[in-house]
Amino acid sequence: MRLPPGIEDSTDDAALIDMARRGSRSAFDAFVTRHRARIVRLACGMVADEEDAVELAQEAFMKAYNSLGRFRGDCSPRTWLDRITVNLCVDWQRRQRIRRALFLVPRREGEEGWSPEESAVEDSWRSDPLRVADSARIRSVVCRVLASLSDKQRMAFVLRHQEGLDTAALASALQCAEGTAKVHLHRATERMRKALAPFMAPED
Amino acid sequence: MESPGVGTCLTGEELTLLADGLDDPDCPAAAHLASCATCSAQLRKLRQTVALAQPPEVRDPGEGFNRAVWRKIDRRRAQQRVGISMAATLSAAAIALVVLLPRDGAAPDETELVENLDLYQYVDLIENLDAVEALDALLEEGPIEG
Repeated sequence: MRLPPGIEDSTDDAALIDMARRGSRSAFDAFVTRHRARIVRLACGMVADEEDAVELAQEAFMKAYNSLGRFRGDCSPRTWLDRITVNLCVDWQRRQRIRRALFLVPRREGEEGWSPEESAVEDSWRSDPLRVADSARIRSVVCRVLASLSDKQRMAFVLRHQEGLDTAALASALQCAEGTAKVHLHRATERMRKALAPFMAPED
Repeated sequence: MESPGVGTCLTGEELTLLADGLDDPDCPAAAHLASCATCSAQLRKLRQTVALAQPPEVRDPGEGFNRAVWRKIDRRRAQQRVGISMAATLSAAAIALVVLLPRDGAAPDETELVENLDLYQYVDLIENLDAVEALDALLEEGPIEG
């Protein structure tokens, strides 16, 4: 991965952001280069379509650039960028829901108001291994469950399982105590478990 | 849930933390798992959940991604400048209108005209203000604090 001239591989994110705030486009470009694959993946974890994910990732960087003046350094630039991305994906999902509602498309599993535990389990999914292997369908359920979680639960799940943040970093990203972060994560994982139950291999 | 002879079963939260990898696998709660089939089965389910929920691997989108980001940034900035210029022009026009309109149908006297000329300078000032950068932040959708 080639970095712009004048920027070292070892230049940390905080330094890049500081340079970008002082007007260096190269520094921000290096920041984009360093994080673009990760941010696309993060967005991909929240919206099923990769093209949408790329578009949202680009918007996240644009929003970050336009907000450089308001970055106070309370968390790492990486966490700040993650937060912007997750919020953008959430907004996008909300817009999608409104669009679907306008066209009277019925609510689907995982969406707001839909309850995984009350929904009838699709028996065919349990027994058909080919369908269980259908990762696109699983992806779609994961995205819809994520959309139905509270903001904190969603952030906890995504940042832990997709970004690998530890408890302390998670608490910092969520701006809450570590114990609270664990509770958010537990609730999110539990919702996800219930929704994904039909796709799981049966116990021997 | 409790299995006789193996201690208290783990709470959902303890199991989640183990599945999430946020708890030490050698912690006392984990020791219980060896002797409890119920908790072990639940932990397996949670681990499957975590595995199923993993996002797909994506390739590095390449330099084209950066170019697209810069296009978006530059386009947004241009839109903001146009918006602010229009707002400034409209404000100036509104002030000019208020200042120049005769009150109660009477023609403005000489003193009024002189005051109006002074106000014209302010109108000019507003039109020429390079307030774009200063107002950029105000046009953002909302504060993003970090």
